[in-house]
Amino acid sequence: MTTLRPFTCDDLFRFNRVNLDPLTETYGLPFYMQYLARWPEYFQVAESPTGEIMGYIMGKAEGRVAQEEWHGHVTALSVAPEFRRLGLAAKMMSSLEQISENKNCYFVDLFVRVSNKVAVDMYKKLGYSIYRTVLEYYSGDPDEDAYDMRKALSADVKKKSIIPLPHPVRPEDIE
Amino acid sequence: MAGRGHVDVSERRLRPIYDALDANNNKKAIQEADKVLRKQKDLICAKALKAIALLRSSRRQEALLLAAEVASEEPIEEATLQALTICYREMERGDLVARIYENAVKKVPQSEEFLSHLFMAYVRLGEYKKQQQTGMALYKVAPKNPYYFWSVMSIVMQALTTEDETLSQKMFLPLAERMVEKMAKDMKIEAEAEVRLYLIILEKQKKYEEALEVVVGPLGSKLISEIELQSLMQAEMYVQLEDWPKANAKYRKLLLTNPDNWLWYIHYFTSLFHLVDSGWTPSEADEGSSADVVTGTVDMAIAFVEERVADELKNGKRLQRGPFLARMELLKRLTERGNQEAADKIGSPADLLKEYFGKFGDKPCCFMDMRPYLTMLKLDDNAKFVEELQTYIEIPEKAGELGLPSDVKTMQRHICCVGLARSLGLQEHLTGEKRDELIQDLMRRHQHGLQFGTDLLPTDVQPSDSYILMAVHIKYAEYLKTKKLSLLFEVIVMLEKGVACSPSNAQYKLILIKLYILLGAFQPCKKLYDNMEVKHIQQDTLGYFYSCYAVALGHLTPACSILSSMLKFFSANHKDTTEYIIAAYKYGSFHKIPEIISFRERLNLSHNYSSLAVERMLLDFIMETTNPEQMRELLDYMEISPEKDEIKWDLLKDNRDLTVLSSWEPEERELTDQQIAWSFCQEKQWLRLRSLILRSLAAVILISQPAPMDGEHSLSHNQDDSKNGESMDGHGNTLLSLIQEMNTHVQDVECQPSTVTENMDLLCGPVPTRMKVYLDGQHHILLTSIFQVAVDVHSLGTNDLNQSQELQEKIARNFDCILKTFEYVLDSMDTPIASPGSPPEVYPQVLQGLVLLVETLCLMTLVISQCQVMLKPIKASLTKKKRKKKTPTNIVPQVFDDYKMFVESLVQFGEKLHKCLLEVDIVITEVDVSTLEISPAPEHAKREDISAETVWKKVKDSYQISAGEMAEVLKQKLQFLRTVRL
Repeated sequence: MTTLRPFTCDDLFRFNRVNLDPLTETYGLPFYMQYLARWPEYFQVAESPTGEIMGYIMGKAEGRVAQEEWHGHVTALSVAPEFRRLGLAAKMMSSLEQISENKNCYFVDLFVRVSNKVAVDMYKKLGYSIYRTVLEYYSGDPDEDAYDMRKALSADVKKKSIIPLPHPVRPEDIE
Repeated sequence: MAGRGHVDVSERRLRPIYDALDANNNKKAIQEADKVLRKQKDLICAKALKAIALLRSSRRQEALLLAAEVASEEPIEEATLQALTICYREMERGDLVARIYENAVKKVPQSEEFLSHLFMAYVRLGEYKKQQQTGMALYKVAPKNPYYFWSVMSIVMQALTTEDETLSQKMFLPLAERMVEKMAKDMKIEAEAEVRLYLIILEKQKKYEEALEVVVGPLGSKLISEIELQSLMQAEMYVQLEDWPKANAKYRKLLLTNPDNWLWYIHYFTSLFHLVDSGWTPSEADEGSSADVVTGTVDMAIAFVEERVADELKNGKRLQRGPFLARMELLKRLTERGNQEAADKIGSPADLLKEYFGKFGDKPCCFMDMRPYLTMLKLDDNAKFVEELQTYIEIPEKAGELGLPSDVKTMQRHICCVGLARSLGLQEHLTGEKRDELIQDLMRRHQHGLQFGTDLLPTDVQPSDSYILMAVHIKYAEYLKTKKLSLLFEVIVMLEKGVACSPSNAQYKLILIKLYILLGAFQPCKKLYDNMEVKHIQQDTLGYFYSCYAVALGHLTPACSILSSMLKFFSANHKDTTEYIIAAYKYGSFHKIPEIISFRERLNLSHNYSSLAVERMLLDFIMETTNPEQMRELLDYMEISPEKDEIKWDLLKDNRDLTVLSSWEPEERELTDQQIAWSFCQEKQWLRLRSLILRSLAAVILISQPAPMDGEHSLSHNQDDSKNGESMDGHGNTLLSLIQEMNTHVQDVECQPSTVTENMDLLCGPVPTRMKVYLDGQHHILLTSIFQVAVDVHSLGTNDLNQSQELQEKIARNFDCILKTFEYVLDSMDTPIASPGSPPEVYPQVLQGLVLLVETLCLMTLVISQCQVMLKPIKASLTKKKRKKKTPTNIVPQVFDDYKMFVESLVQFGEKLHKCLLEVDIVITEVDVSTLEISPAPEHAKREDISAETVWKKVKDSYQISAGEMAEVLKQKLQFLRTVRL
């Protein structure tokens, strides 16, 4: 049972159960503010009946329309440990895809740590495929590669956007 | 062509200045600017850039003057304006940015660019009226829709911020509405943002009919950014209009598309009961199969919810919790309304809960889902209920031994059962033996359950972690009753073992921090806290676990860096968020603008912010000053004005996240809103006391050293009170009233009933402030007395010394009072921090007392050093007079002797205190925790590397650091004290 609604500034005061997860980054205020000010519809929060924040998704629309690169991007997706295995991530992803469809995006993409097998498998189940590998995308000790995963939307009739690249790319080569 | 060439030349000449600024080489930037200005005096952009470099070299005053010189020429070149903007923004003088663009617009009224800069400058300042005018001016220059709606939004902001509700309703909102209506009539509305702004305006005037028309009309079709936005807004309007049949139908329809949305169910039920109460009956029109059918009777609603349940079961996909929870919610509401007949149609609460458990018991959230409905069970049924749940678990029992689960789902169900049993109070009356058995069993199950998490990443929490947390709750509740130290150690050992198995579990770490603090040990918390990477806004919401204890427990060096890193977050907030208010205008996210503004306000008014700032300044005075002049410099730097209370007490926000810890506690041990409110009230009382101390100290410094130093702060002082004498008396009076205020405040605190604070040691609740230790230690008496001495010494300087007998006696009495109080406090602190007996005991409050005593002695040193500054000239003038008259009189005013005696006694006390601190080391090394009666860990769960001994070692190390740091700062202040003789 979930209420999916737009994320508001005040939710930042209450998202600790989600963000204390070590793989969920807590960003500086400008990061969240930028998304709230520019793509408020892409920042959604799932709330439990008792008012706890179960998880949230943060995304944006970007890319040039002319090159058929106009797409939805998933910046962050996280679910608190006690609300996992309820299909929440899938719901939030589907909502983001729907919003991107409404905006006539060609595809939705996201980056995920190659080691995060659970997440990669989940995205595959949701219809995403690995478009390319981005080398040393995540800084850390050591740096870690990312998969750039994509799912074509209905605007991309021929599914051109998801034809995998044969070679990995460097972070500086991605737009 | 010539003009163009000129620009290029200038650009080329300016380049080295830009480069130097980019490279953070401010000195070079200044040199380069001077070079350019020697060649070309009128190149004012170079001056503006030089101002930036000066500012960044901490030459603020010069920068301000130079920038003002540039601004006075009213420049219109882009580069100059940009440089000035940067300079003023770094000075946090947004008002001056607005001035330069006002001037530019005066010169070039048709410039879209200048006007748009001016608009944004006003946004930064929150000057809504000027925003409105500038937006319209922009629209006239360049008739683009966004500009028009910037202006409309600026009117809305005036409506939202004015305190005059009539003005808002009668003038601003109608004006904004007319402006949008005009665009609507002319068919000029283009964007969704514009429609949403229209709706905001109508809703703020409660014109829901009109808003509904917009939503369902042609403009409503623009509402597409969020899913189902148009339908949702329509439904919300029906609720606002209390059009319950339509609201009911609408939410019913929405639920058909998504039967898992909680908010929709709530609205659906609310509308239902309004209809029931108004005696609604279905008419024939409602009977049809139309999509807008109203289900306004209890029977219809039950049928609807049962249908959702049935559909969900038919669905075949993963079950959603929504319909099942909604059914329980409906049952609960019917029961609360006393409609037992209808409730019975749904079923018995126990059956529904059991069914829910059967379907979702393997989900970690099952306990939380069920908890709100447990109150429906009858008390005597509770044990039977949980017993029956156990039958769902099907753990095979081996002969004579409790069965252990064979998979993670079974284990999860068991965890849920234990949680329910605790929440229902079934564990409350266990005998000691049974309780220990239960704890042992939970620990064993945790260990056993680790096998289900072997594939997980180290960043995942282990599914069996809840067992330890529940065991911790049980044991901690026992500790609360008995206060037996061994129990506290056992809980910490359990949690430390938990962290070793599940290094990402933040619940473990937060509780550990809390318990170590309870033991007075700050050191282990640092690692735990850093490890969770608590940062940015979390410092406001979670900092309460940790930040104030570095000071309270005497870890002063880490305290400095902790406080300053947290303060950085708060001080950057204004700038950080304001940029995105501008972004919201640019991208047309009008509905987010008031939200971001109140967010900025909520952070700015955070109690934590004020509290950290005050503690930081007190700490700086204690740590950083070794002579009176330094104190004056520090004060100027801090910009404290003692006569002005900067804290907006009534508006302070409690931003602590007190929901972060999981709890399975029965209702009577749940943290209540009242307890949270009380805890916040106590935090504010403590902050008020601390802020009064700080302001009093500031007042003391200003009465003894009234001559202004450099810096804007003292400049403004100089302007405000042109006569120094006046300002000195002003500060003296301020100090008097601050002392008065402190006395009244302490009286108020002492008078409040203590009952409310009793239940404040819940595992999931906030920790009380240091107020009790403070008052018990008589620190308020010590400080108000010394502040009074400062007031009286100051009066000595302005009165005739020969006629000041009374004043001198008063000073002597206060000296006496301080010394006696000190003696009493020090004597009453004869309890050592630990008693090494068998079993040993530790008394963490002793540490807090010592820390406060050191702090008070340091503050007293600072105040007395200022007294010396005031007494010195009096003594000198006396000596001079004596020499002139050449008739040696033996009458040396008593006050000099008293002062001398007082300082000497203070030094002696300090030395005694220093000795006390050194003794901490000796006492704690004698403590042997192996004599604590620790219940044995189960054989298979033993980890020899974590034991009461290893925990004690951490605590001991932390005490040593506390004592060491205290001794160090005390030593430094004693040296200072020895230099303030007359």
